[in-house]
Amino acid sequence: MRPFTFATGMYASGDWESGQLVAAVVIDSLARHTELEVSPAGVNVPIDSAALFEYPFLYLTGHLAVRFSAAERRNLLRFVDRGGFLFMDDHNHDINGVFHTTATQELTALFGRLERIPNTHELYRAFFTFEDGPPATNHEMNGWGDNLVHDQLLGIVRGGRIDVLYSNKDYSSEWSMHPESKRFMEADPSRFAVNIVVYALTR
Amino acid sequence: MSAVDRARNAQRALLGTLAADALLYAALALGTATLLVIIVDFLSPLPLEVRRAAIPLGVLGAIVTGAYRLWRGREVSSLRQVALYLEELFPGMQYALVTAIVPAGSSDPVLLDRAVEQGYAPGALGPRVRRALVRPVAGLLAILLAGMAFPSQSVTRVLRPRAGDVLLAPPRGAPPNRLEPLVVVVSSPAYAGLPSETLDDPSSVRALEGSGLLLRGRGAMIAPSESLGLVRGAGMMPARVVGDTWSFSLTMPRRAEVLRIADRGRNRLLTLEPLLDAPPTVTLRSPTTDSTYPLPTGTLLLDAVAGDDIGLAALWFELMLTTGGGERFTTTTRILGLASPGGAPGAAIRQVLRLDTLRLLPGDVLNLRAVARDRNDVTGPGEGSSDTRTIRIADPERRDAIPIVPAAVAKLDTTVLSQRMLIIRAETLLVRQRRFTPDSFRVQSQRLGERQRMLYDRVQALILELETATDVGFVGATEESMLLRVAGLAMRRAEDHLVRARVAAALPEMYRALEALDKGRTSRRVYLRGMLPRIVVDLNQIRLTGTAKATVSPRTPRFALSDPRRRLLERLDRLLPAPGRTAPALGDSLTMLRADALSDAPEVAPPLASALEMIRAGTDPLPQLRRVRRMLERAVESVPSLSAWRGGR
Amino acid sequence: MERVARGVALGALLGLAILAFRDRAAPVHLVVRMPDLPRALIAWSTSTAPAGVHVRADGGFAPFARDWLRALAGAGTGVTWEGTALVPTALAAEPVADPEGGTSVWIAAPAKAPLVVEDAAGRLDSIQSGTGGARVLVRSSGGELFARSGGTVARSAVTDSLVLGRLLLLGRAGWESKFVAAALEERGWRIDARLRLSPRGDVRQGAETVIDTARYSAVVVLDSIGAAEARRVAGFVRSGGGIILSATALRTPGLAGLAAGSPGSVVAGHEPFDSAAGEPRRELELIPIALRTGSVLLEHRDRMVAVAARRIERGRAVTIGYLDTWRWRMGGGAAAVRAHRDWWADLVAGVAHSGRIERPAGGIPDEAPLATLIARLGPASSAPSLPNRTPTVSHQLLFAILMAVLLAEWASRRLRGMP
Repeated sequence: MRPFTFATGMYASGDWESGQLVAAVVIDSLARHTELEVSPAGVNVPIDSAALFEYPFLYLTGHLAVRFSAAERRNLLRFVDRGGFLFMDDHNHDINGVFHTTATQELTALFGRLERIPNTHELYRAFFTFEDGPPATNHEMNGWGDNLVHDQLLGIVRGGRIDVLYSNKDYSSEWSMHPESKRFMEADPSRFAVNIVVYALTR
Repeated sequence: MSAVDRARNAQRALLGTLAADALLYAALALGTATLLVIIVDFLSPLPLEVRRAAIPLGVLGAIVTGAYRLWRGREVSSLRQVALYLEELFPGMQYALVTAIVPAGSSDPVLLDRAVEQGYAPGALGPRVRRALVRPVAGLLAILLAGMAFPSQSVTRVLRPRAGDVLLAPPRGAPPNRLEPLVVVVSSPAYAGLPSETLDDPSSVRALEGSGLLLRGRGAMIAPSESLGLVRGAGMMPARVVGDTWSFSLTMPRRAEVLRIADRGRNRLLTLEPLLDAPPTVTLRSPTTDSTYPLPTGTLLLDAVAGDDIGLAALWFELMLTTGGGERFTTTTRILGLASPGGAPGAAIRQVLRLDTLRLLPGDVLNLRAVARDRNDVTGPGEGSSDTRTIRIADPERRDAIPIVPAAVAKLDTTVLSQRMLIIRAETLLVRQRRFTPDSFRVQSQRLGERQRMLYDRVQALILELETATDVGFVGATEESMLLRVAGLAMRRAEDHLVRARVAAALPEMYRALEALDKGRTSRRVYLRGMLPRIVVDLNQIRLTGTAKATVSPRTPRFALSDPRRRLLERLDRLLPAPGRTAPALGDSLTMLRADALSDAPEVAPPLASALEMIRAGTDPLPQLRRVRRMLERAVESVPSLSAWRGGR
Repeated sequence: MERVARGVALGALLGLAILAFRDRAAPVHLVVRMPDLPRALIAWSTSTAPAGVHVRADGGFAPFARDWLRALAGAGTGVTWEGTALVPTALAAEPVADPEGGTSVWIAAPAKAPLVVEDAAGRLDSIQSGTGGARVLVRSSGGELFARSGGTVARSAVTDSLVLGRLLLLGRAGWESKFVAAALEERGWRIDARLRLSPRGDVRQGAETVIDTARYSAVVVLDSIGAAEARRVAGFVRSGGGIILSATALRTPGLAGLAAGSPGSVVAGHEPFDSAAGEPRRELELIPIALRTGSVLLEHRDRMVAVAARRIERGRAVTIGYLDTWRWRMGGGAAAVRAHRDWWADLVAGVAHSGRIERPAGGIPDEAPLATLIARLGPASSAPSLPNRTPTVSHQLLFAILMAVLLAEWASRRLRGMP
C-alpha cells in the first residue's frame, strides 16, 4: 500500500514555494508519534496536473495574492469532491491581508461559504488533545509586532466532515524549520499537524 | 335637357348607388363575420390567436364582398346599358333614349328629346335607387342590435383581443370556478430590460429569478375571499380583492416550486421555473502567459473581452502589486480601463500599461486579471473574472529558475529518428506485401511491433524523467510530457496493429506518434522557480520516539448519500403502474415531481412535461413515464455468463 | 322421374342423419393454434371435450393454459403439443445484500440465445446468452421480472427483503481504509472500524464487541492484523460471515487460510491514473492471486487473477489483489467515485451474511416455463395421426344433393301444370 505523502501544491499566481520546509517537519512529527506509513520526503505537485489526484492530502501556502487559473480551479473542485483534503495556511501575520482576502475569495467561489470550525471539533482530538482549539503560534504568543491572534480556523464542512481546512494562524512560519531543530524545543510545535493529517486520513 | 344628358344623370345616380351598395354589403360581411366570432367565443372561448385573426379575416371578406358587388353592377359604366335599363323601367320612351344615344339612320334629335321627356320624368329613378339600399342597411342594423345583446366583454374580446383578456370570457361551471381562468403577469427585474409578459391560463411560468409575478383571476364577489388562498410550503397567502378580480403578488424564487391556489375545495397548481442569471464570462486575451521581467521597463498590452446573458454593467482590469520580502509584504490594488457597457451583452477593453510608471522593484509581483460585473441588482450583481497573469520582476538575489532535465533533449532526438526509421520500414513492408507469404508477412510485421514497443518503453522513461524531479520533489506534467504521452498512446495502438499484421492500420498511428514527438522537441520547457532541495527524513531513526501524550478520539461515521435522483425514482415508482388512478390526481403528482426534477434531474423535466400534456389531452402517459423511469434509473449491468459464484456480480 | 328424385332426396336425408349420429358417437381429435386456445378451452370445458387435442404453440404457453390442459388431460382428453419457438429458459432472482437494494437475476438459456429482461415498467436490457446463460444486476428492487427468449417467458417476483448487519473494517489508518470506509458508508452500510495508528491509540468506530453474525454481515480486512483477531475473524467466517481480504492482509498467518489463493509479486499499474482509461482497474498495482482448489475466479487482468472467491464452511470469502483502489476514486474521472463505490458494494454484497424475511410473491412466478410445461404435459411431439375411417361424403354435399333433387321434383310437377 502507498504511504502517506505530504504534497505541497504549486499554483501560478503567488509564492507557493514559501513553505518548502513544512513537509519535512510534518513528516518528522508523524513518524515520531504514529505508526503511519509515511514517505520520507514531501513532493511538490502542480495543482492543475493529473498528478494531483495521487496525493489526497494537499497543502497550500503563500504570502502573495491567490488567483487560481481555470484549470487549477477545475482540479481543486474535483480533488475535494472526490474525497481529497485541502489544508491552506496564510503565511502572513496580518488580518485581511492579500493572501487571506484572495484565498478566501477563491475558496468561497469554489466550495461555498467558509465556516468557523468550532474549537470543540473532533479535529482537535483526532490524535493529540487541544482543549482550546487551534494551538497558538509562537508569533502570536510572542506578539510579533502585531498582537494578532486568530481564534478559530475556517473550513468547508460537508456532512459534518471538514473537506477544506483554512488557517490564517501562519502555521507555515511555525513549521518552517529543519526537523533537527526540534530537539532544541521543549514541545514539538508541529503536533497539531499530526491531528490534521490523522483527521484527513481517517475521516 | 337633352336625352343624352338625362341618360348621363341617371348613370351618375346609378354609379353612386352601386358604390354605396358595395360599401354597405362589405360592412355587412365584416359585421356578420365579427358577430359569428362573438357568438362562437361566447359559447366556447376561442384562443387569442384565433380572435386576433378574426378582424383581419373579416376585413378580407368585406373587401371580397364589396368587389363582388361592384363586379355585378359593372354594366352601369356603359351609357348604352344604362339607357337600355331605363327603357325597361320606363317603356313610355319607346326606345327614344337608346336611339338618341346610339343613332341609327336619320333621326330627329328634337323628337327624341321630346319622347324621352314624356316617358322619363326627372326623379323617377330615385325611389328605386333608395329601395336597393334598404336591404344592406337593414342587415347592418340587425347585426348591431344582435351585437348589443352580448356582454360588452365578449365584444371587446373579439374587437380588441389581447393577452390577459381570458378573464373577460363568460364564467363556466356551476358553481363558477374562481380558479379558472388564471392570468399571470410576469414583470422581469428592471435591470433585465425585458417587457412584461401576460400568460393566459398557464400551468407553469418561466422567468428570471426575482421577477415579479401577479396572479389574477375573477369571481371575487361570488364567495367570501377568505376561502381563496395561495399555498406555499406551510403558509397560506390571502388574496387581494379589487372589485370582482382577485390577485396574488409574489417573486420568482431561486429554486423551482409548485404553488397551489385553493378555493372552496378546488385546487389549481402552478409550477414556477426560475431562470438563473449567470455571471459574466471574461477572457484575458493579452497578456497570454505569466512572465518574468529582468528589469521593470517595457509596455504591456492588456486586452480583454466579456459577455453576459442579460447585460454588462462594468468591465475593468484589476492590477494587484505586491512588494516586499521575507515576512513583510504590502499589496496595492488598482483598477485600469474601467468601461461601462450600459447593459450591452458583450464588451471589450484594451489598455497599454507602461511598467516604468508603476515604480516596480526587484522581487515585486503583479497579478493582473480582467473583471466584469452584470446589472443584476436583485440577486447579484454577478461578477466574473478572467484567468490571472502573474508578472514578476526578477530578483538577482534569489535563485534562478531551474529548467527540468535538459539531458532529456538528446534522448528525445534519438527517439524521433528511430520512429522515422520505423515508419520507413513499415511503409516498405506494406509496398512489398505481395512478395511475402502471409506467415512471413506476419513475422515481419511482428518484428516491427517489437521495435515499436521498445520505442514506447523509451518514451515512457522520458516521461518519468520529465514529470519527476526528485531532487526538488517535483511531480507533475509538463507541456512536453503531455505531448510524449500522446506519442506513447499512438505507439501502443500502432504496436497492437503491427502484432496483428495490420500494417496499413498501424501507419497512421505511427505518423501521429512522430508528430507528437516532434512537437515535444519544440515545446516550452518548465522552469521550477525557487525550489529547494527536499529534505529526506530518516524515519527509522525517529520512529515512535515522540513522548507527548495522545488520546485518539473515535471516528464518526459518514452519512449515507441521499441521491436526489433515487428519491425521484421512488416517487415515480409509486405513481406507476396505477390502473384506476384518476387522471387529475396523477397530473397533480407529476406536476410536483416535475418541479423537483427541474433542480435535481433537469433532463427528465421535458419528458415529464410531455406526460402532463398527454394527461390533459386524454392520452395514455404510461409509455412516456416509463421512458422517464429509464432515464432516472441507473443502467442494469449484464454479463453473458453464469458464474458459479452466487455473489453480487 | 319425380319418384326417382324423391327417392334420392330420401337417401340424402338418411345419409345426413347417419353422419350426424356417427359424429356424435365417434371421438374427435382437434388441432388448435395458440391464439385460439383460450376460447377453445372454455368451449371444451363447458361442452363435450374432444377425445384429443394437439396444441401448436407459435409463442409462449401461458401458465393458465398449461394448467388447464393438464386438468383436461386428467379428465381423459389426450393432450399433445409442439412449439418450435419455445426456448429452454429458467430465471432465478434474489435480493442483493446492499443497503441500496437491487436484484440479482440469473437466467439459464442455451448459448447465444437472445434474451430480453423486463420488469413491469418495460424493458431493462437485452443480451445474448453466454455459456449456460447470463446474469443481470438490476439496481432498483422489487416487483416482477421477466426473461424472454424466443417464445418463452420466464417470470419471477422478488418480494423478500434482507436484514443486513454492520461491517467491520480492520487494518491500518491510511488512504485505502479511509476511502473504502467512505465508499461503503456512502452506500448506506454501517461500519465499525479498528484502524491501527500508534501505540498510544488506534482509530476506532463503533462498540468493541464480539465478531459474530448477530452483529456483522462481513469483515473487510485491508492490512495485516493481530493473530488473536485473525482467529476471531476466521471463526466468524466459518460460522457464516463474509470476509473481504486485501492481498496485503495475507501477511497475517491466521488469514492466509481464508484466502482464495496465494499472493504473487506486485505488478505495476500506471501513474498518474489515466482518468480516460476504458478499464480503470488496469491503472492500479496488482498482486496476482494463485487460485487454490475450489476457488472461483471473479475478475482477471490479462492472465492474472485479480479477484477471487471461495466458500469456507458456511461463510464466503473474497480476496482482492488490487492495491490502493482509492487511486481509482481520486484519479478515475467523473464517474469514478460512484463506480468505485459500486464495485466495493458489489464485492461486499457477494459475501455478506444477511437474514431473509420471506414475503408472499405478488404475482404468479413461472421461473422455468418450458420445464414446467414438459412436467405437466409431457415432452413435445408432432400432431398425432387421426384414426382411419371409410371415405364418406361430406355434410355439405349431401345437403346440396338433397336440395337439388327437391328442386328438380318441384320443377317437374310445375312444368306439368301440377301444384
